[in-house]
Amino acid sequence: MSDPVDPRDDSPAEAAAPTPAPATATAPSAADLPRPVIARRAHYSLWLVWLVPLVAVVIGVYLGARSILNRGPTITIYFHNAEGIEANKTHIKYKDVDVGIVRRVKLTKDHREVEVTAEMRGNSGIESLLVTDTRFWVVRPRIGAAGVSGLNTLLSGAFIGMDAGRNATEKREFEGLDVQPAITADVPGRTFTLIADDLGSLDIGSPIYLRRVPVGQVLAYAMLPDGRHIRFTIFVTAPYDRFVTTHSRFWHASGVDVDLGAQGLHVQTQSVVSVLAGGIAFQDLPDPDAPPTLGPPPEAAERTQFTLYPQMSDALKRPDSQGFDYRLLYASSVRGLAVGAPVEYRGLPIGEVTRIAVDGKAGEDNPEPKIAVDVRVYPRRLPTINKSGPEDMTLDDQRKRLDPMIRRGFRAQLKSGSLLTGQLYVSLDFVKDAPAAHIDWTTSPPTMPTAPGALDSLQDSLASLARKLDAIPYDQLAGDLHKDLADLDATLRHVDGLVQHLDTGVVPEAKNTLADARKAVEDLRKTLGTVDQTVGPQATNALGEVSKAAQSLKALADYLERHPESLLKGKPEDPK
Amino acid sequence: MADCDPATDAVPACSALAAGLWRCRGCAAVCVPPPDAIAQGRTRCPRCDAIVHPRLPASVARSWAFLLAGTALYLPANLLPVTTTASIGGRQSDTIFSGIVYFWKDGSYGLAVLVFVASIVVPMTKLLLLSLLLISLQRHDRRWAVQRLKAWRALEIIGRWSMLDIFAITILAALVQVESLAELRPGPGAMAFGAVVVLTMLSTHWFDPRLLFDKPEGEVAPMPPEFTDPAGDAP
Repeated sequence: MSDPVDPRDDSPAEAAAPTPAPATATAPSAADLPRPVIARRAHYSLWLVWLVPLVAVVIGVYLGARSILNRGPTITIYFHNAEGIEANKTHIKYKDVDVGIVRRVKLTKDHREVEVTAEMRGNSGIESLLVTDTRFWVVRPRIGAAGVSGLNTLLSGAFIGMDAGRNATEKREFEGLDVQPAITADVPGRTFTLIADDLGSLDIGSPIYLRRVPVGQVLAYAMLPDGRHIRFTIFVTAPYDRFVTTHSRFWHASGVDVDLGAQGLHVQTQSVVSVLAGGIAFQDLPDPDAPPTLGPPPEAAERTQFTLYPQMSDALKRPDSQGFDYRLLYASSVRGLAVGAPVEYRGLPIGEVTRIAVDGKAGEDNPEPKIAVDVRVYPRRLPTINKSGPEDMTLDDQRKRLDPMIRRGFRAQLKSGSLLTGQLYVSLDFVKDAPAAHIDWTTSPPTMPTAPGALDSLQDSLASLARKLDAIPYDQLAGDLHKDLADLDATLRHVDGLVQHLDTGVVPEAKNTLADARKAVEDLRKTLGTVDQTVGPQATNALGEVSKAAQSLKALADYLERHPESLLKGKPEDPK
Repeated sequence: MADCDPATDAVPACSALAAGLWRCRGCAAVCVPPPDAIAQGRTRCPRCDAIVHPRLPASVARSWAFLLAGTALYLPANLLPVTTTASIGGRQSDTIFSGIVYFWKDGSYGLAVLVFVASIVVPMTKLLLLSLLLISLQRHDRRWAVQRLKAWRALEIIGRWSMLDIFAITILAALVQVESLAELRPGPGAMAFGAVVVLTMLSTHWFDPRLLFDKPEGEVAPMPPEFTDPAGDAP
């Protein structure tokens, strides 16, 4: 037997050495080798080893299943650009809770948008939040009128914000927002719609004020398809949303409203923030005709549409329940009258100018077209004492009411509202001694007789003055003047004769008198010369003294200025 | 006691078993088993009291079991994140492969290759090689016996070094714990990966290389049925 070793055996000789059996030979025979000890048999089954792969498979399946189950739904969001979004780095957060991660960022097939595929976290019930009105946006640092937000993204990088919607229909593809929505869906409150003529200085996030308390924000705005109106979506937070009633009026509180109208300069602001950033204010305007027992007006329902007035004064006008149009024809200039200028009845506003136009084309039958001023009058705007409640007024009622008034001189006049601005307004009042007139109910709108306004009457006076001047008979006056001038010539000749007489008779005597006078004057001069000789030198000396004194004073003043202490200490000794 | 003939053997050596001897795996003592040793119960080494087998009992079956277990966990080990990093920048989970991609993109090609070899190539090679060894053993293929032995040795040496990743993760997880600033946690992938390494090492351990040189059934000394492979090696 050669080496009885397997390839791993190192020392075959050692194997036998310590055994109890005596090793007599160098190459021990099999009989010399020790026998193994027989121990009790272990009772275990070999198949137990197969539990290991079984457990491993179970663990593997469990781990895989858990990671698949944890994966949650995959959603796709389309953004206009992918600024700050990175695959496997950008997370999706809802209420700052991590609910998913971006797995892939790529361009859409038409290369116009960015398709962001994100994997939501599973087991979080996120599926029920992924509904049709759920919104996504990229959170970046943002500085706006409302404050600074998203500063943490400066360090952590951008993340995708999520605002869960309220619908029940689930959705997996979303359009990402460019800007963060001002109000998230979980904030209690109500959304309303406003229609305005222009955007003003409003923007998304502009505040809504109720009695200068910020109660909401502008969520969005869009131009209506007609291109002439802007539709705002605003949100008023609870509990203020119940103050939005069917009688609420909204107006632009943007910036400073400087209103230079017939009523003079008017500055209206809401708050400093709104001056800078713009805003919308609203207030209730109760129906004055409603009986007070009716209680507060009903709350406006969600998505109620309101008009957004350009300014507070427009918004808070009385309800324009029923207006009547009249046409006023003026032959004079309407410079200073604007559309919207007030129509007043003895100082009480009851309407406004709606249109200023020329009445028809100039032509043979209309050589001097007048200016047609259309006004709308709201009789209900007039607060009336002892009113018996709202009354439905018809044009016939108006006619019954107005015709007797017209007969008593009720006329429409253009008056200057403010001397400073020269704005005109339409004044409805009784004019004394007005020529008889009547309302022409046949036209549409009815034409109300007018009376010349204050300026017109001034012009009339001037015209009559000019007419009087015209009436003066200038020719006759000239003839008379000619005769008068001839008379004057004769008179002058008489005067000439008189003067010659003076020359010969009076002048020689006058000459003597003059010589005497000259003599007297010479005497006077001599006297004065004496005075000059005696008083003059002394006066000169005196003036010289005064001059010296002034010099000394100047020297003293100079010294004192340099040495003010000498006033106290006296002049120091000369160092010499 | 069967003779062993170097001339007729595939390998110019004959085994202890063929010579009717058992060798203790613990102290390498050689002993002569009584004819009914197996039937009587466990046989212990007369010198060191370790259990003595002619061959590792059910070696192929156990090796297979551990190998299959390792294979089952190999997938989650590579697909699931091995680390979860939480920092100001947010949470991030990395699988082994995403880490390699990160290193590669970062320009650390050497590191990327190292991690790739140690964490992906080596475990996979181990799984494949062990499968090959076991299959060839079951098919009684006796070609390249020495080369297969060398491969097995290499597997045994390399095996422990596959834990490199796990070491790195444990050290990092211990070090990177800066409250709220940065935190690194091992993920489920790390556990699976560690299990793969341990299971392949066990599989390597239970692989009895002496079987590579044993003659097919019948030429070897009679073995009691308990020691035959329950995996179906014996006809």
